[in-house]
Amino acid sequence: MSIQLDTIAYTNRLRHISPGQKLLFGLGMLAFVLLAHTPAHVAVFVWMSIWIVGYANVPVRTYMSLIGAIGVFLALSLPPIMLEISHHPPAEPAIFHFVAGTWYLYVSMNGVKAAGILLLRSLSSVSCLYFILLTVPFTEMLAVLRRIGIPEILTDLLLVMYRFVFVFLETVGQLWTAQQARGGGRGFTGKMRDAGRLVTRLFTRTLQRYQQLSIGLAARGFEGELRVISQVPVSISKRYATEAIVGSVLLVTFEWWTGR
Amino acid sequence: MWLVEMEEVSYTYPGSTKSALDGITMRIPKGKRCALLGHNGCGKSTLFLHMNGIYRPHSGTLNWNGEPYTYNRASLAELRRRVGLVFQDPEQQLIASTVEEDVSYGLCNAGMLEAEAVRKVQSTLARFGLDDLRERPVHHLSLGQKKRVALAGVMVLRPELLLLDEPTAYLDRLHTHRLLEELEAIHQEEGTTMLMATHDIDLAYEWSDWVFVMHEGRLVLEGTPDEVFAKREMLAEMRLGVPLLFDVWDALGPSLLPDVTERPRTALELKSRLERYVIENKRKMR
Repeated sequence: MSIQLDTIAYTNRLRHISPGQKLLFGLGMLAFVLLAHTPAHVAVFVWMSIWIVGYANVPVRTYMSLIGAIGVFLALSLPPIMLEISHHPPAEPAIFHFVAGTWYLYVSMNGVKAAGILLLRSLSSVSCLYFILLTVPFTEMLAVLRRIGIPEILTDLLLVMYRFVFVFLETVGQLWTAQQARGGGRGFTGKMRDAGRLVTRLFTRTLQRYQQLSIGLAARGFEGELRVISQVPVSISKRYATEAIVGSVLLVTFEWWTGR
Repeated sequence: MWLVEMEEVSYTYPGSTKSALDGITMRIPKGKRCALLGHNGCGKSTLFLHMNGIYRPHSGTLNWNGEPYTYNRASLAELRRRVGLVFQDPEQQLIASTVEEDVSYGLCNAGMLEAEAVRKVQSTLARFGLDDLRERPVHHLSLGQKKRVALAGVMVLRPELLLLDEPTAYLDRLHTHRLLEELEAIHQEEGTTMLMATHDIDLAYEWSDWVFVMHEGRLVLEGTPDEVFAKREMLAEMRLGVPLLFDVWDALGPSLLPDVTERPRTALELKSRLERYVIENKRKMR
């Protein structure tokens, strides 16, 4: 999945728009979501989806499966919010209640409402995050971080970690395929044992990789700093900036009007 | 005359009882394409890491252009710019996330001005046919493409000595062929001295001007390909064998064309020799 996200970040239609502009917009919307109320959340979710699917041209199916993945996660966390257990009978209007001995188990109207508000807030902030993830390649995010003065040692570390994520995933894939090809993964205990072996091998392989990479870096004249030249032509798009500003103003007005 | 001279160089990996390099003496002739033959684990990679100063010999000396190697920071940086090393596994040396950024990495380390570095990166990308892949992240590339990027990232610095560690390993015939064409072009245009470690004896025979044979950390044979492969017993003892074309010519040459002294190095050359034989024979028959 992370490989797919990464591919989209490099190939989407907003690729050549300045990463600063996209980050500012995404983070700005995220901040707005944290302060705003439910009607504005719905509006932000719809608008961000238009940016992602319409402007950045991310395939609808990919976007839906991403939202779906988060949706499942959210759905699993909702029941504990709605469900209440108490010694006393429910004082508030309950949609559903169940008595077990001296215990009352019930779902209250207020609980459902709180869960709904939470769900919408989460979905709209997730859509802002996806906008950033799907349109800003990681390296450009690093470039922005560097520009705003994050110490180079941190950005270098992030870069190396990012490179290693893919080497790591590839190694996991190779080891797993090799295990399958040799008839591994039979039954639950077999699967567990194989997973254990995979982790052990992965650990040694990663250490070897690390050693190899440090030799590789030295051979290319590593001087304690990872400097490269990034030459992707980026521009600040007036059309998108206008839409972002006008939309944000409308959203704030809408929030002020509904939130009174 | 000699680009690198190694005198009695020994090196043992920490924790190992056997020497990886066992008093090796070797000279790399300037401007030549050299092949380094030997089995896995005979010390080829260790030798390479000595040549660009990553490992320091435990005993013995190395000279670059007649000057002894010095291991301070500044001269090491200079040395590594002059000696380009292309690893067997490109994953080992690709560090930045897009092709263009990775090619620029060595230039940035060499402290080049940005405008000039950009120009060099552009021309190198064009030169290696990587223009279309410029903005692609490295982990989206195929192995053949990664190898090309690794070579481009080294060649952009215009090294005087290019060390290639099993460059054709895992490559199919098409990509092997392309790689050899690229190396040929580099050799023609820039006159870069090359040293290729390989265990493909046919490739070594076809490609190289000079052949080194290593065995158990020692240099056991060197010379022109014809000289080296003529020592059949020695090669058989090390289980390295003789190139197929060499064998074929040994079987055909002396009886068919006794006056031809130069051996064919490629299948194409063999074909032209045989055609000459057929034509001469027809003339005799008449």
